[in-house]
Amino acid sequence: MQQVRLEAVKRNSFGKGSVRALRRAGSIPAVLYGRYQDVVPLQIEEHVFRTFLRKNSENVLIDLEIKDHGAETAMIREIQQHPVMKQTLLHADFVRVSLDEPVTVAVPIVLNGTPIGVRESEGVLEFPLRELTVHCLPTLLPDEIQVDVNELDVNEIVHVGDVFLPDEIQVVDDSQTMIVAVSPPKVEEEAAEEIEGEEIEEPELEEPELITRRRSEDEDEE
Amino acid sequence: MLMPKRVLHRKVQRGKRRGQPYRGSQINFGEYGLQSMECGWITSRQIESARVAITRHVRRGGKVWIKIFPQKPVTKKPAETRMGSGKGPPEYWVAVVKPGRVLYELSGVPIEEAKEAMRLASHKLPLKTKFISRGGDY
Repeated sequence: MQQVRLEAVKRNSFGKGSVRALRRAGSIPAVLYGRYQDVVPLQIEEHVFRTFLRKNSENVLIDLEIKDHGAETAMIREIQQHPVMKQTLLHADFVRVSLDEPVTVAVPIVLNGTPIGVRESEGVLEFPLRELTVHCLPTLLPDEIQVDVNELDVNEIVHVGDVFLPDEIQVVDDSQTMIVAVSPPKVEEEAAEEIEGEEIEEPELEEPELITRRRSEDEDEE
Repeated sequence: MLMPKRVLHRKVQRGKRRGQPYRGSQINFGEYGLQSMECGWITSRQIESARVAITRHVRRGGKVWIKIFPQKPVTKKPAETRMGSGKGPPEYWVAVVKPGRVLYELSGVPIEEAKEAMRLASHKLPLKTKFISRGGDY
């Protein structure tokens, strides 16, 4: 995997007031840490970082050029976004990595094709595990893990153990964890629900059980 | 309708709705989602009504996830009752929603169908909402 260059500046302002002023000025606060070395507060121009994220995956090896500090090899640990305006970046965490030491990273899973169970039997594709946690050298880290689902029929499952990866890449997740499955269509169930909904228009509100009641009863018994 | 099975307190205070949710503001299970843009209370009836609107539109295929749960009891005094003599009995249950919260998720349908299902669901809810989909965050 090749390293991608990213420029940053050492940050001297701290606290929410100065960080908000920084964001208004078009930069985002960031931090670099790891490998038992000093923590370096940084600031990055937001449009530069956004362009970087659009071009590269989040698991890319970064050659972080810090002004007045030097270059560091790092990876993105976390990116904070605004919960409503997702495009607004709030903060970034970078972690130092050594090219000789393995790292544990979540790699996105990409499905190839449309399952036969969806095409012909109108099953529903379930894809609960979207990232696979792997442990390997940073240079061997894949951008994405491709899983072929063309031959997947209804009630068939692809587990973590079914994914083929090179020997150098070790999977951390449990081999029995489900990645993708095709479940049968639920048309009849929905129809039944609708009928039920029509019959019961005004269900009476039953009060839930009080958790404290049992304790008071126990005390009375004592 | 959704309501808790066991609670610690039968009646609770109203509380505040300020702030933003840093949990539950991303799509975790499906491909598409309905995200709230305002804060408010969503009753268990509204949650159920919106869910029915989504499942009726999607019909075949598709899977729906409800990402909110009405955990807060709301009390109401009976009609034509004089003030005083304590808080009224619990009337219904609500979910406290803040801006950014993903209310429903959907998968297994084309994007146009998902958009229409979420539009129909949004009309059952007392908040401004927006349709979101996975990816393209930056």
